[in-house]
Amino acid sequence: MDRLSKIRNFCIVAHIDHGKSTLADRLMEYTGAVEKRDMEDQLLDSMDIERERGITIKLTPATMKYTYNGEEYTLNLIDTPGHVDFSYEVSRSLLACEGALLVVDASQGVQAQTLANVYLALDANLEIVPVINKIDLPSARVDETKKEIEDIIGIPCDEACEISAKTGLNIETVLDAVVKHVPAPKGDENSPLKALIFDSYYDSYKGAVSMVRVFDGRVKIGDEILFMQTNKSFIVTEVGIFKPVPMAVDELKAGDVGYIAASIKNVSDTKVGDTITLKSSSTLEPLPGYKEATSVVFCGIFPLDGNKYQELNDALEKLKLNDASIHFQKETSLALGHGFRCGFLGLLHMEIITERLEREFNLEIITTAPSVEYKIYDQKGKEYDVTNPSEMPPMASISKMEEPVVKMEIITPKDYLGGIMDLCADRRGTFHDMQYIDANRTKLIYTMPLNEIVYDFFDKIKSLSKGYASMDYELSGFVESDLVKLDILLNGEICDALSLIVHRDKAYARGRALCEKLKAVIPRHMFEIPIQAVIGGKVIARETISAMRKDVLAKCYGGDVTRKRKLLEKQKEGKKRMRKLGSVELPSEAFVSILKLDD
Amino acid sequence: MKNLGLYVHIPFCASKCSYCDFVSFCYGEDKQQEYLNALLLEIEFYKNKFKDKVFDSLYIGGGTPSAVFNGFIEKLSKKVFDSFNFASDTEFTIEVNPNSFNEEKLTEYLRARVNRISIGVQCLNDKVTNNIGRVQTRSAVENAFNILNKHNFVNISADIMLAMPNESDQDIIDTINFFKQNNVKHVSAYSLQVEENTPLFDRVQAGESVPNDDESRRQYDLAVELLKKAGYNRYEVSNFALPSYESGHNQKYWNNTEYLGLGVSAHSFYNNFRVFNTSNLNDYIKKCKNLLNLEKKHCKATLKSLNNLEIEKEVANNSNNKENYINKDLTINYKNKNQSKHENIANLNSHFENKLKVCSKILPIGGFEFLDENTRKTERIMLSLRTKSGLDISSFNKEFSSNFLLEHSKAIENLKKINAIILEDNYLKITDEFFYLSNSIIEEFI
Repeated sequence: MDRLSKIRNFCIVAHIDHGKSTLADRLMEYTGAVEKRDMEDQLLDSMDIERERGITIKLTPATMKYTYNGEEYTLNLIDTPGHVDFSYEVSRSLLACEGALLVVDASQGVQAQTLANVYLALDANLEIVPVINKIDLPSARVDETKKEIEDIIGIPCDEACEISAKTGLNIETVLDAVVKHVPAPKGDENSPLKALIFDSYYDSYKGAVSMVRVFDGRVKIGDEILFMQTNKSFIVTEVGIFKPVPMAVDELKAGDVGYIAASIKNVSDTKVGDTITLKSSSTLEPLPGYKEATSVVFCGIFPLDGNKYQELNDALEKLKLNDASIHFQKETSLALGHGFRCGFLGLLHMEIITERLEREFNLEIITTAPSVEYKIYDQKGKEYDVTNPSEMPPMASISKMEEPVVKMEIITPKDYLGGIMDLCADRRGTFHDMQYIDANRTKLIYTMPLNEIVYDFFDKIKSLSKGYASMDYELSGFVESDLVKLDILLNGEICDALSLIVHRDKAYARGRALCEKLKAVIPRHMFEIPIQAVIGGKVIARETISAMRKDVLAKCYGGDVTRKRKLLEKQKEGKKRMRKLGSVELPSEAFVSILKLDD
Repeated sequence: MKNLGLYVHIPFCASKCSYCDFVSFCYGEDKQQEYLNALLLEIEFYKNKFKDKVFDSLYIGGGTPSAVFNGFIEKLSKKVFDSFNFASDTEFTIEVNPNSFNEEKLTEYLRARVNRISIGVQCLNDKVTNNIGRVQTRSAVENAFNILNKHNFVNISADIMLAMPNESDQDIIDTINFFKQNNVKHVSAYSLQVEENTPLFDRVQAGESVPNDDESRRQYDLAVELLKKAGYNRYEVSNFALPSYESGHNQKYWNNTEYLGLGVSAHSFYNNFRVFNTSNLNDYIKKCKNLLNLEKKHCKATLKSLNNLEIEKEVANNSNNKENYINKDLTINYKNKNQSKHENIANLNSHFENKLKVCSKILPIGGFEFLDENTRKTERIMLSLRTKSGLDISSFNKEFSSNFLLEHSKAIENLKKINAIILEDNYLKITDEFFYLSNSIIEEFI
């Protein structure tokens, strides 16, 4: 019992950019977990892309030692991703803790994801420790921010820490508050093993490594462990803690946060939310809360150079090793050739993966428009899940279609309310509620079709509100909807990679915009190219790219044939990067254009 | 063995036109004299190397060859004819600008044995030409033609430029009528190109409008029609001639015939090698002076290495020898059977490149390129499809041991479908309607 009373397991929840990762850095630095000279900004964000974008994607825990009132405590911090796409990961990591630091930027106050994440923390019965950050900023409104937290969330703020994670001001008060307010873990190290996987990663030497919080029991090298959801068992090869670099220890016991390696080949065997126990005690009830991570947004990913299909395949396999939430399967498109249909947790997740493919694997890729999963019922009532517009059955065979909707919460300064409400209405949102957060800010609640927000909704909200509004959403189910498949014909041939599923009311406008956009990005050819938007055989919009009239190089002055040939070869090289649909050459921008119809 | 062409570049102009991106400078007589001296040295240097060759065309281009001091051209041509073997029916062209052309120049040219004059008219509307920085007047053009006709000068070529800002259809009609009336035998018709790094480019960037591609094409079609009516046959994308007045020199470029280029920035093509001179005038002059010393001590090695280069090229061009090719001076070994032919050629290229780097410290060379078989194929297609007669498929197949029609069956089928090409007597030709899209068509074959 004495050992457990000296452990604190906590995480940090915050809206994006409110200083979560910076605070984590500061805590580690203060407790000496990392030497200052080793300190890199946002230490727990190990991927370049995380540091650059200032976002946390992967969870990384850290074990720190802190002396309070003469007693040494072990503090286990679990950094959590702040973005809505990763809320399932957030909820799992919350379950591994007894308390959460609620970090709020004193200059911005409570934001949509502050609320979303704090509610997740409250659901997990965590003790919330409010931390007001960025108090060094001239625009800091410390008292107002505290009042907001009390009014909106209902957490008392008289003992809230007031800090600047950037300068390190009052950092020790946060550590003191963790020891004082976060409850010590409960558990029995002599009971059978129960450890919750809150994340996993792939190490090329150790295999798939599970990050765990041990609730009961103990685990050491040589134990035969069982993953209760997948029902697979393995022999433990190493256990350890994060300092924050992995460091092997002899044993993990109840209350500890650490990792278990067991020469596991597949990250998908170490599912987030699963319970690890000993094979010998397999009759146990698993810990509650396991949920399969489901893909919400889908798109096609194709190599720009058709010969790089295998490389793309390898790259996706490698990414999946570390991120079991990516789903992909082979897809063949007439226009784009061989590629993959990929499923993601959300738009940000999709962006990150595509960016990593380009950056870490040096692949040039074409992504098709993001789609959501539709439920389509045929005349006999049989249900089909369609995530790829080109797989939609003919309209005549369909009796009913359903699309996913989300519960959307938007917090905005009231000056931008009108614009945002117009946008929501335009995106087929159903208004539910409007709440005043303070004299200036309002919370809007809508039900919206997911398909209306996967394109550019977040960007729009940001630009409409000059960056001040924030949003958060969660899937709330499927509703029946009047959807149609919109096809694009180029020179009379369907370009499958440009097909879209849209609401009938939106189809005309979308079709027209798409034709105009394509006309602007497809270069003129030696012949005229009609571009048509078609719904079930009916043309709803048409544009024509007129034939090119002039394309000739100046004479070979003084016999400078080389220059001319190189020009031609360069042009030819440029054309190789285009996709050929029939006789039409499509630049990769054509496939991106579908995403940005309003530009 | 076909005869060679000789090109001499005169990089001087009275003033620089706003659209021009060619190598040309506005320098006075002193610099021109220095340049002439340099040219004479370069000719002296190549004299022996080409002593076994016969030339049948000489082309003095620029810049503005008529802008140099009196006597320049005569001295130059004397040196050329003294140094190289020329056929008796040699075509000797000089480019002139109407403003710097006069009777004295013509008599000098006639003494120099010039028998073809290419005159840069472009357009008779002074407002249009002056706007793009051409210092010329219609009266100067008329005067130039009066002089030529007075001396019964026969072989006159003239340039017309289309798609200049504010150039009207009537301007084009006037210019072409004028050509016909003044006994012009050959016409080169070009559209104004806005090239980067020119004052015109900056003007266009700043918002000045120039005719778009559609307008440019429309004017081109008009010019083609007018020229045709006037009896000029189009024998290349941009070139038109009365029967038997096709430019012999330009045809060397299109027919892959060898030529030697002398002077700043001039290009040479022989032994499947393209070598081009430096574009830096002072560098050119300095290095030509060095050529004087080239036979002496430290330069001997360079010269020897250049001579070796000639031999190596011959060897390299003979693909049977390629694999057995070992050069003792150099450490390259082509016996390595593990290397693909492609790698061997790449090696050869980089080897030559290193060697030329050494040479270019002494010679006025700016760069070079060895044409491997693929490049030669590309150039053959690119150049011959610009001509009216088109690509001679059987000679192509023979030279490259390939089957052109089979290798390009898909492209041919697609292009035939839109009437862009025709196959006639085993020649592949671009149709009139598509001549002005020749780039896109050529791309299909390279």
